[in-house]
Amino acid sequence: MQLTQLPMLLAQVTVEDLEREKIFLQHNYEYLSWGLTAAWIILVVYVLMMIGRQNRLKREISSLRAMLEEKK
Amino acid sequence: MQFFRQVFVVAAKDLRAEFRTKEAINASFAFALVILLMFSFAFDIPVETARDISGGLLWIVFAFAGTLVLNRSFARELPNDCLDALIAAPVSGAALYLGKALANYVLVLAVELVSLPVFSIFNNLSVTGQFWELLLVLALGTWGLTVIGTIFSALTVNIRLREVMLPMLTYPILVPALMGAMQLTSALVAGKPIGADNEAWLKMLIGFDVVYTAVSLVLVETVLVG
Amino acid sequence: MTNKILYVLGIAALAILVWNIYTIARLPEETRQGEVFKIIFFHVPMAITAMIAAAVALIASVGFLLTKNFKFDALAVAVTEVGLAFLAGNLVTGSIWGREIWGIWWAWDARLTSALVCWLLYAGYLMLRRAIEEPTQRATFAAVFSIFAFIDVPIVIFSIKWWRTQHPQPVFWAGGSFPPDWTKHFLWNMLAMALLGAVMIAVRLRQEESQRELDSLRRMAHAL
Repeated sequence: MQLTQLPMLLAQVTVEDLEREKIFLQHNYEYLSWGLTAAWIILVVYVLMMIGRQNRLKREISSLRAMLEEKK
Repeated sequence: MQFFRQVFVVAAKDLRAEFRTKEAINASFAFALVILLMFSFAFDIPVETARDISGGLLWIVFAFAGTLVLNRSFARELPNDCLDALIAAPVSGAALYLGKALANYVLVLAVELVSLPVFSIFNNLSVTGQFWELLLVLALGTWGLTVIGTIFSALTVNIRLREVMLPMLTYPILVPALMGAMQLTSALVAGKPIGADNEAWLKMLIGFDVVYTAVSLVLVETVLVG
Repeated sequence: MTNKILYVLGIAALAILVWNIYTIARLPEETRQGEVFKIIFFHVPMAITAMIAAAVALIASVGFLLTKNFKFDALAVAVTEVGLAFLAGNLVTGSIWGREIWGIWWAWDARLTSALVCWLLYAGYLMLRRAIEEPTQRATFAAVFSIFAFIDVPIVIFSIKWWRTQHPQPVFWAGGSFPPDWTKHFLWNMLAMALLGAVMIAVRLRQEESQRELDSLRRMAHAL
């Protein structure tokens, strides 16, 4: 592209174009952060589910052990 | 030779039992009719659209109605412990499986062949334009449906929620086969021949059938005996 | 002892991931897609981890059918469950990216559809396990289903590819648009994600062990 064409091109860019580009970039940030949040939430929820199961298992095992001791 | 005779005996037994009671095939056909009727008034479709989506509509009906037949396939053997007797009989698991699959194939295909003209009448569509090609697609797609359906019928026969589990497990696995069959059926009903652009689907259907028949025959012994 | 190692590894993986959020936020914008392109740092490692998990699930399932050793069964469940969580993350991040770049949350495109079908298949695996009480039968049937599901994955992928494709082609290999100096960060994230998955699988395996202990305790309680 020749340098003389640049003013012509710039003249074609309107205020609305710039506005639109700005909104697009802002959206971009928003969606990126949503995406990252969603990925993290899924991992955290899965970890919480595992912790819940762990606690349940521990509780049941200890209560069964106690019951068996008593019966003996 | 012995193997094929056993397959034939099992298939004949299943078909005879089915034709005496007709419970699965009647339910399946009635269900297919109801879905076809529902489609007809759910979407008030012009003929051109109906032609384009005919494959999708038909195969959804076939998959739903077929599941009813397949669900009964092994569940029928539960009363009086017939299933245990069958497994204990001097018949290999593969022969038992293939025999049952063959019987199911005949039943599902029968339901399909009756639903097809009904569909054609309800939607003012001619399906006889390329009848033999359509029959080939039906045969291949239905074999995929029955191969998967029969092995999973054996798998789910003893578990809780059998009626729900069978479609839940089979439909995702059937996705490629159903998609191929839908594409080909739509093309054939619309009058396009099987050519360069949809030949790949036909190959895929054949491949699906062959692969899953082989895998099922290998694994069926494990499923039945444990 | 092993518990401590597991926790340390898990915390290390999380630390790398958190630190990476900071570093990728400071990378310049990608020229065509802007910031949202950076979702790839989570999207792709999650997909790769899930794929590895599916392959391990197949190996474990075949291993169970051959040896009838319940360790393989435990591995198969652990791997499938963790893989499912990662695939869910992959689907959701992809969907959010699609909303920004394509303008729609979901397209019935080849990779999205096949990923969703995979997710449904392996979710079916977990449902099947829940429906069976008897441990040997549960393990056998689940292993059979896992083999069927794994064979289905390539067929699904190829068939849907013929159907339609909209998903961007891989950006890493020759001619791809992935900035070369970003590769280092990407590999770190990949490593962290795989490590996190491995730790989760290890924890889940221990839970399966506890579950078996619980079952045997129950049997003892019954016998008394």
